[in-house]
Amino acid sequence: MRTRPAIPRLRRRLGQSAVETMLLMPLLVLVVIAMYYLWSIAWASQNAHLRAREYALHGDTYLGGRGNNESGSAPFSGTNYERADSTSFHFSGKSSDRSLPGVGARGEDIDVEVVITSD
Amino acid sequence: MRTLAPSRRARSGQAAVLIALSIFAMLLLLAMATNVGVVVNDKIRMQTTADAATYAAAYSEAASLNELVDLNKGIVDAVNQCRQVMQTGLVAGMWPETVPCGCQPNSIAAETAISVCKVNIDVAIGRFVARAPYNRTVGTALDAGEATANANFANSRVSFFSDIFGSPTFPGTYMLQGGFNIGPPVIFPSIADFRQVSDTAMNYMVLATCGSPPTCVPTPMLGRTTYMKTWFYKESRDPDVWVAGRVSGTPEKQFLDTAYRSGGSDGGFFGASSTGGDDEIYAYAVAKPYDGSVGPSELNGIQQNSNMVGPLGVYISRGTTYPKLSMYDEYRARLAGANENLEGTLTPDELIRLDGYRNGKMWDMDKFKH
Repeated sequence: MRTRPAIPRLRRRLGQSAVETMLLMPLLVLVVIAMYYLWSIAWASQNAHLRAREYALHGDTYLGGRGNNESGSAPFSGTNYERADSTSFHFSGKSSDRSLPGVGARGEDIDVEVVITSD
Repeated sequence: MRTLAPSRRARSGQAAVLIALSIFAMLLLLAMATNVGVVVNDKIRMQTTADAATYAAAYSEAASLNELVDLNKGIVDAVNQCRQVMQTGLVAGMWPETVPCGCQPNSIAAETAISVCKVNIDVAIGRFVARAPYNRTVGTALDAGEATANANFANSRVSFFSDIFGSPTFPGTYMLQGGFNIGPPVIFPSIADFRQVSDTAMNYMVLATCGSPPTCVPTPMLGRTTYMKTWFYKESRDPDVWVAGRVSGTPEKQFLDTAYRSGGSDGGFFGASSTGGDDEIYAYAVAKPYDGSVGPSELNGIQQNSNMVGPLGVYISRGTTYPKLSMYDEYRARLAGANENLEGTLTPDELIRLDGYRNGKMWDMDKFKH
């Protein structure tokens, strides 16, 4: 009767951890990607909110030409706040940002508008 | 005999267990980090909303003050117009009149001119009075603050500090001044403490020539003075008109979040609940108009003419507290820091603390700084 060639015990044990690690690695990578992706969304959202706020208050003065911003009207003329002329007013600033794309996921668009209005 | 070395079966899956535990720990960290991200994001949104809301209220107040300054200038213009009329009369002939002896010398033409002036001045005063009341100044500002808060943050709750001296909900008063030949003062709530100059004097000189009977002694020059209410001034520059507000609520808009339950302000990611409002984020902001005074204020030396009868037809009379004719006309709203000195001696920080003492509550000043 032929017996299976004996594999040294030590050799049998080698690679066991590697296989287990390899099997679970995708899950690990997935978690890391998720963290990166969520961080990116949070970062983009906070950026968009802060920029929109600055745009609503200061218009192009502070952030002119940077990023995807759209200044509506702002009570600021470049050097100081403008004279308040009417109790009926509407100032606004828009900003959009896109989170970094994850693996297999496109970036998330975050659009923010800040409004200062009497109505 | 048993050996100390673990069996092969016992060793298998060791790495899997460790990695599974690591992944669990990482998921917990992921949840925590995400929740912190959500909270930070919501905090930014609420701070922005608070800033925008208080700025809107301050802007509305600044606009009201600018309108009041313009209307106040209208009163001064009307007074100056009368001054010109009286001056013209003086130059033209000192309002010559022939008056019966025994009567006070009186120029019908001059009195008619003064009456017309008074009507014009009263019309200008009426415009100011119609614009000054609380609901047209402070009420409008609070509405703007609320509209702005809701435009940025659905279902947010905005409130303005209610008892701070100079805050919009702590009304000033404007007074239709009583005084010399005027009557008792009438006081209304308004955006600031306005007082009305009550004894602007309209003077003219009469060259009275007596007619019959011939026993009368000719009176070459006699003065006539009519007092009237005219423009308004802010009784004190301090404190500035300013706004302090706060916004609270749970953001309704979803951001990395599970659905909010209707009828409740709940939500949370990975179990971060905000039920019961414990997790509500409060945000504070301060805004105030650029300047804190509505003129006129002090007289200069020339204007401070105590002589009731001078070279011109209209004088500001002897009062020592009367304002100069120049007025601040550039009210601009801006965001102010909590520790910024206002025109007075108190900072917003201190004023809000004072509000807390008055109302038996303490505001968390750390939430005010941003």
